[in-house]
Amino acid sequence: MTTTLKAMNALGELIGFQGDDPTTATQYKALKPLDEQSSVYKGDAPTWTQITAKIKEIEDAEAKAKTDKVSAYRKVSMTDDEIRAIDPTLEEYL
Amino acid sequence: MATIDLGKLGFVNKGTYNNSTTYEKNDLVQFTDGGILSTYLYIDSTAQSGQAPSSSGTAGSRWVYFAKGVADAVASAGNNKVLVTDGSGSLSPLSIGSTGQLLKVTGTNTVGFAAADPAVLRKVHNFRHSTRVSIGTAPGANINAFTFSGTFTPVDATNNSFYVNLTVPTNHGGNDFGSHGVRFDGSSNTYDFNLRGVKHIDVGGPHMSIEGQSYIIAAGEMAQQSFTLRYRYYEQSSSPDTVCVNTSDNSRVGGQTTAELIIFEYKNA
Repeated sequence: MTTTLKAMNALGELIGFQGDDPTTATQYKALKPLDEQSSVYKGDAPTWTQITAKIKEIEDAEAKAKTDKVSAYRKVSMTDDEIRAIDPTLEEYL
Repeated sequence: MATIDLGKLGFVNKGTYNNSTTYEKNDLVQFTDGGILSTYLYIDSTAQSGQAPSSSGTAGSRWVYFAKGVADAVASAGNNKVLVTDGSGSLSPLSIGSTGQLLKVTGTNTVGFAAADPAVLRKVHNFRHSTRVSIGTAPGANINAFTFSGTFTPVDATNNSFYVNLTVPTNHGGNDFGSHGVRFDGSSNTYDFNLRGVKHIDVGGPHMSIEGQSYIIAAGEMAQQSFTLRYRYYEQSSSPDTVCVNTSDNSRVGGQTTAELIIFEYKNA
């Protein structure tokens, strides 16, 4: 699931939409609901500002989780090569 | 002064033969014998009536064929026939068969009307959808994810069967189940086949995966009408994160993927 979808799901009862994830407020407002649905959300929809804030929160949390992983590996004296072997996605945090 | 009868110096066309008419040498008549119209020349020096030009295809002793006709096989074939020739080159009228029959070779150098082969592919119907669709975590049950382009109109839903083959590229989050399928949303009836031939791979996200179905709709299972075809989730939380994935999901996809629905309509044996 993309980060945008995670944020949209976290902030309300997302039914779904057709097309790519929105990247601007204009695109968000223009989202096309699923067939035979009148709206993208059940009930109140979050604002684009809330969504972008949530996206940043998720990205920060994911980055922190990776930083914490690297920190933990270093505490047990792992080398960078060993950390890469365990989790290649940590490359940019080494 | 004496008169000398030189007789006829040329042929005289007397028209259609009449048994009461007296004919004389060099008269021409038209006469039909055995269905064949010919022109005859009277050759006897004695004028007479009541001498038919021919019988059973043989000219009488007082007549010769002047222009012998031939049987018109096309005209005599009768109505509603197909003309073929036999091994002697003669026309052999073949009666047109009944509705739905085909002209077939039935043996060496013979043809005839016979029923169509019992199992025949009637038509391949093909439908696509190529727009990415994201489905939230709380859509509830019975959600239409998308509608395939085009309208499905069977050739004959009463007598033909259908092999349905569906493939939808997906991005699953894990712990999803395959309660999906195509709703045949007809102008008069609605049919769901979500429990048949389900193909479902949910490798846990984010990974590209597939959903699909392969199944048979038997002849008569659906009433004849036109259908809108909707890809649908029948249970809550059974859906993937996205269908018809593209580079929004992962750049390695390379572009917009397409859901394909192919329906083979056939007449079973």
